[in-house]
Amino acid sequence: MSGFWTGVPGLRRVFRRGVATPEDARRVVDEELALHLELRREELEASGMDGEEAREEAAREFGDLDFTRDYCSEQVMMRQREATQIMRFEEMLQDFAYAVRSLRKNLSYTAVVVVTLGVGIAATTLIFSVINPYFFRELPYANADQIVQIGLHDPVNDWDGGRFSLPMIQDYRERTRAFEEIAAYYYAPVNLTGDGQARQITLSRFTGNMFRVLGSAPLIGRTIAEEEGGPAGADVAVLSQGFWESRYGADPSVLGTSIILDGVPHTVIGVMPAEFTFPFNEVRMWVPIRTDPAAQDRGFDAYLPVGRLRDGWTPERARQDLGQIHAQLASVYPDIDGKFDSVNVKELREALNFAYDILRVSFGILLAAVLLVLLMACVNVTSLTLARASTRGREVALRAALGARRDRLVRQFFTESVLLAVMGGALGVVLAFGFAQLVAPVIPEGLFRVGEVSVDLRVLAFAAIVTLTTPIAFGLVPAMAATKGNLQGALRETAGGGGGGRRGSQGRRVLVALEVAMAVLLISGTGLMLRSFAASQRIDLGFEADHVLTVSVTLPETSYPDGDMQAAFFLQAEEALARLPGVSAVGAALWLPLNHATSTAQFARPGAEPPTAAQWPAAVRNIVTADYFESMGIPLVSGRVFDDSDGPDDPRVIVVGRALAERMWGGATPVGQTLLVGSPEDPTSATVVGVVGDVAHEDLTDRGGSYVYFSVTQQPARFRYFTVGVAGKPESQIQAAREALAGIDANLPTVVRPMRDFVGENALPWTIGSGFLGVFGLIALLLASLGIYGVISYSVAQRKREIGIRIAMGASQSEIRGVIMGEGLRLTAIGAVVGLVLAIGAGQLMTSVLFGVSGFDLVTLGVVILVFIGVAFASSLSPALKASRVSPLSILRAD
Amino acid sequence: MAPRERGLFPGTVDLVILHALENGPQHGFSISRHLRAQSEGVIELQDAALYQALHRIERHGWIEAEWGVSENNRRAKFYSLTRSGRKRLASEAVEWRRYADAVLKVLDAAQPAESGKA
Repeated sequence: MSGFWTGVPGLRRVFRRGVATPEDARRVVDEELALHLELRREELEASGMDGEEAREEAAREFGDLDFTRDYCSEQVMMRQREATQIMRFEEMLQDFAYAVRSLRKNLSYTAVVVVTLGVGIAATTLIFSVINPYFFRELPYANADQIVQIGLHDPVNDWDGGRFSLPMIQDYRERTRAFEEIAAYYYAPVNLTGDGQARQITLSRFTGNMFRVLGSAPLIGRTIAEEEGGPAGADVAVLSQGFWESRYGADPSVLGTSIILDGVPHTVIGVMPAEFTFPFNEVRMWVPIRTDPAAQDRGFDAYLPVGRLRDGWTPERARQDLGQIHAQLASVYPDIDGKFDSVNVKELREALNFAYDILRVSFGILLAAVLLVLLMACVNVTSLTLARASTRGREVALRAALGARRDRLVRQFFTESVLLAVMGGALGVVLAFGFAQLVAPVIPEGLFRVGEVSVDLRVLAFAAIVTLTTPIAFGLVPAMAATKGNLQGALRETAGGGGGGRRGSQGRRVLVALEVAMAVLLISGTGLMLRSFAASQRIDLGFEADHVLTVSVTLPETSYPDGDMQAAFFLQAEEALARLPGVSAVGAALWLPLNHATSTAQFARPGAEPPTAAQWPAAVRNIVTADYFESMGIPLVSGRVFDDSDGPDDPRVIVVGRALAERMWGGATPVGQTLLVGSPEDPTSATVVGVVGDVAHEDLTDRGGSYVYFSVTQQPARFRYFTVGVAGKPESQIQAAREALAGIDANLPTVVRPMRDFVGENALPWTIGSGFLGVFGLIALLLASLGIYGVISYSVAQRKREIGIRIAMGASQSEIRGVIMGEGLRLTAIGAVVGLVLAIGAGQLMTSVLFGVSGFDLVTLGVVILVFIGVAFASSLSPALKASRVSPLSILRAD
Repeated sequence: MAPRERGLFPGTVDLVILHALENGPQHGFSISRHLRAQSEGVIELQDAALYQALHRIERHGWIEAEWGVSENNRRAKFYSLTRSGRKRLASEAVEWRRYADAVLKVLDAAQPAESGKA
């Protein structure tokens, strides 16, 4: 039975690969089924049935013919689709294997490309991993986009972070339609005792409903329950994970134990996970606010409200809702609510980050810079790949002659690029991972972010996207170019000759000029940041930052209940600090410049008060000891500083800053004048006894503001910063200062920091900016040099014969060198001009983050031009020397 | 029960078709005749089901088809086993025999005493 088919001619596949349409499939199935019916009919006829009857019987016996036709056609189509997929996959594997072979044959090309891409991708990934916790990583709160912080706008200081008192928040809670719930918090330093060495830490106090509004779950234990807030609540504490680990060795048995905060025992009930840092990283624990809102003075505005929006309410609509409530309350309480002119609503990420705006610009610049580096890396790789492609003309022609279609060839080349990119990406991620661990500890704790700088899944996804985008940037053009050349031309082309290579090298010239332009742009930006950094180091702050040590002390109410005990301690401490070697003066102030804690006071000349409270000008207020000015190196301009004659019961005296004095009294003598200071409703009348130099208080660029100094003797407080003026390096005295105070009260926590630290924090945008940009600038410079070098070397190699002939015709070595160097300089010049134009534009965009230098800085631009003349020289020198040594004879022989 | 529905246990259609092709390529009609002859009329697979099965099995890659010329000189689609079809046939046959043996063993075993009560 089986023998009949053997030797039957004309057997062929039902379909050629992947060409059947649904109609084809149906036709084939129909033919097959028709034959069956036909054969059966013949059988039936042979057994005596007549024609029509036999046909009907055959069909009846067959069964459901229509369904079978559909089913079989469908199967045919599916089989074909599957076969096509398998074929595609097989082709991909082939391309992949081919790419691996081809890259292995040219290891130096592969290595250079992988390293170049790796560095570019690493830099990009690193910057993204730095930005990630500030702007992208999810907030650790349930439906975080529904949570907003509410602030009041203070028209006097134009400050939109005005706070609320608990009675005010109560009114808003009762009246709002926009919010499901409004909670509140504040933060403060406390002294932690009762479990080992005394320490000053920062904690945040939450209303009982705060954890419900945030919707955050604890790592272990539980969070503060609603009823634990308020007067009937309980003194419980929830620790941060970092604090739990560093102080208690991550011991879960800490739950239920008691710790003492400012003398009050608190029971530890839970630990929050590391991402929970509300409202900022340095907060070590959370405790409930126990104050009774009903018993609180409405003017006690110390609280920051945070609300969860009802479904369907946008922040903007919520702002309108709150605005109406504010208007009602302002008319009822003009002296309290009425001091503010509007309510604002901010998303948490923005509200909690004090430097949101500046950070956004800085990170934008860094990201732009690093993308520029990546783009340059791609351009370099494109240029290398083009050079390689021009030597592969014969290979392409051969494959095309053997039947490879162009799209297949492009795909093959592109597969190589993807493979290179993936290897580069892998290298980049590994590098970024390493660098992120180096950078993470350097990133200051001070600004709100979610978790640490690290390479997480989001960063990996970003790196993957970047990696898979690069082949489009560097692989597509060479792949198209390599497969474009016409067949015969390529086959005829000889190994050394120009032919199709000319076009390719023209393209590479354009690329290199482009690359120079990008490098000029990047390095100009770097220059501006470096100049800003230098300016921030040189800046005259109005005080002597390098020779001051600060010691922060807060006396607990439990051990220092009254003013006399506090004053006695402060006196003793001052004497102990003064005894340290090399100390010139010991002063103290309640607030330090550049430490972002400010007290303000409004002021006016008696008899010349502005008509409304809001129109009284505001000054930065500080409360200091007499020696504060000397210890900080703030010069006395006229009059005197505080002295023993300014006792607690003597008339109020003030020292003012120079700018305030000039604003108030112009040419007249300020000393002896009277000033009304404080809130316009109830100002203090004080006599000016001296004028001192102004200082930078808000930030490094802050100058010419108004300053008012009160005497700490007349306005005592239980916290202060000692300012210790030292002759040598303040760092060397940190331990000694700590011990000096511990000698008086061993249970008192102190924080000792050189004043320079505060300045450094304020210079951070420029430090980090110029640091990163500096590295990127160097990479860019290197890439551009390599690019120029590559193109010139290649052009020398291609023009060897021409150069040989020129030398044979009598051209001198220096002439040849000149020609080649000229080529390098010309390329650089074209790129540099384009780059400078871009750099001038970018400088204007950067103005807001620059300091002490304008966006159009001739010094920076001049230096950049010099640098690139150098680059052009350096990178075309070696090819030029090589060219001038070409022996005319060797060329003739080689032909 | 109509005779054609008595034909096959579920899951055995593929097996008998693969088996039918073991000795060489055949077209659909001859497979149909072959099955009827070899099972002495016991197995009667409806033709519609046969063709559906052929196309399904072809999609699985156990058989492949080529156009050829039949005994009486007609263009016909010939199916033959592929290498994976042969493997499939071998393993299915083993499986089926094991199953059939087990069923027989159960049927041949002595009836439990309690069954008499029912």
